Amino acid sequence: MSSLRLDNRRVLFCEVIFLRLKKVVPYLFLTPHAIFFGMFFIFPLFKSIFMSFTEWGLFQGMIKFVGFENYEKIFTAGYRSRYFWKAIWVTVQFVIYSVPLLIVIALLLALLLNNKKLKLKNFYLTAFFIPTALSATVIAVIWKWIMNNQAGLLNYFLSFIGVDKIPWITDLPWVWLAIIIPTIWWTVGWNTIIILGGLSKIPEVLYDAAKVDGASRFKRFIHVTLPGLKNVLMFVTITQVLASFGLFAQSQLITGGGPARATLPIMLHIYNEAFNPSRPRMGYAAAMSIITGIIILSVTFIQYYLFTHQRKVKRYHG
Amino acid sequence: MDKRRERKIINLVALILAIMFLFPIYWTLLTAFRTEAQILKWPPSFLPVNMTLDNFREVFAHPQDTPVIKWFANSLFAAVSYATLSVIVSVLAAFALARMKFKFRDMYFKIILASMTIPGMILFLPNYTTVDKLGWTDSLIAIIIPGLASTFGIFLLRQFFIGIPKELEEAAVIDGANIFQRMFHIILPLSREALIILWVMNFMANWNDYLWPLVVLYSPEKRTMPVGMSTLQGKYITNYGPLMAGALLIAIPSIIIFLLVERYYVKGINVTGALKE
Repeated sequence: MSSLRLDNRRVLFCEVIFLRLKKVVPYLFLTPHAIFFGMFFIFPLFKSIFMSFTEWGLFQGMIKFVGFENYEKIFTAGYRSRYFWKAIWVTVQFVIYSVPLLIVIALLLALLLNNKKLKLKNFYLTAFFIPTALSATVIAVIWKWIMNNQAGLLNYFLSFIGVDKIPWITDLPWVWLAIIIPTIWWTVGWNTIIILGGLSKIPEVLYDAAKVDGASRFKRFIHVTLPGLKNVLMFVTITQVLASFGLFAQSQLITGGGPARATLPIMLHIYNEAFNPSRPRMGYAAAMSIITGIIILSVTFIQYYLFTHQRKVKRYHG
Repeated sequence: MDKRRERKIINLVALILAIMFLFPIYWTLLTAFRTEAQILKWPPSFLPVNMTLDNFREVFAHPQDTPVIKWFANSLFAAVSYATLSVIVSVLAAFALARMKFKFRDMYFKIILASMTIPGMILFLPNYTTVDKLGWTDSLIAIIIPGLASTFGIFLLRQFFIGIPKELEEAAVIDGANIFQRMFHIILPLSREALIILWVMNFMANWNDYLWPLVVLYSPEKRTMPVGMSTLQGKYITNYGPLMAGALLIAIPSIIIFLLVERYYVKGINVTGALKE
């Protein structure tokens, strides 16, 4: 009799423990991610701010607090400040040139792939998409060879239409094309697939209705396709701007940032300063990355505001 | 315009575009198998005649500076490890966020949602110093572990898990299934495709990453293929034969893997687009 009571009590005890444990279980599931997220996302966020107020040598024991000195270098006249804003301007130029091209070409390719009269659709999709499988470094050497001044393929093709040898890799304004053309070839497939996905979600009945109303092909594109793609285009634009702001490998490996810093983007500038073999300037680089981060964040918010605001305006009109 | 002509034009345009997209790869292939004299010949020829393997011999002849096979092994090991670990970490977190009730659930979700707006370049330098302090530099762990902070997988899987009907789980609870049994026997089998998609996306991201491995790995035998390629570029500069042979050796595994997983990769990109709408 007494042993049975004991058993009951034991069961109750186990139950209480179990219930307590049950409360802990969700946290156990979250723990692995929380550890990595804390270590490599939250912590560096604050450390980055801390670093930007120091002179931070690559080797330990070389940390010196310098207050706002690194920020002063960015905002007061001098060669440091000139190089920083030049690099920002180069990056902004790249965004301005590359984003519209990467979206318009992707849209055209997606419209082509979406056309019912196209045979072998999957083959073409793969053909446009395959360069994204290659790494930036492979892209860079392939295009550096194609755009070679002396024996390059591109200059050979251009010679047919009477164009003299163009110094793609070394001279302005050609260096911009030497960065933008490989970038398009490399990444346009990504946007194409997202837009193609958006196209497939536009209901066929909308097109049929527009046809019945006698809308031309162009009008159907303007009034059915584009509104249907609105969210997709917003997503593609915002992510593409972010990606283009991160320009690094194409500049580093194709033009080397030249001539005279004309294609040296901010990410490459930060890398060069932080990992300068003779004198790494991590603190200064951290300050530059924070200012750049704030610029990027503002651009993202402005875009988001413009996209959503536009929608409100439309609603008022009809 | 009559329909048949339109069909012809569309297919012709597509064919021309496909040739334009694939031609750089064909040109790499041709250059890789040519002697220097053939490479520099003007005008260039586009036919694969008198091929040579010399460029590949040259690349493989320097296992000290350019251990291409080692780079391949490193890339494969890092990408498979990262993809697998990241899927595990994401499954656990997403499962908690989607199917459990606890105090800080919404807060955690809001934090990782807000984290998406932070530009990654701010984290780049402090993460380098952390990895350096941990003594991980010049080892593959440095390109496997920090990426596990990624939140992409959590968003992807959470969305998927939420879509699975609650009734299925409730029935299992009545049958006495505990949380792990519910996860392994109900939720995970039903989200098989999402798991494959996430694995593939993670794999490709790690496989092609360049800047991070460039700063954390420095010995030639520790490098991954993308960083190795830049080593080759530094070594051969304008010696395009070996350079293209190296590019090809690095491109081919990528292309093969890409073709194997393309279906899931395409789906993954679309899911990403749909997630953030």
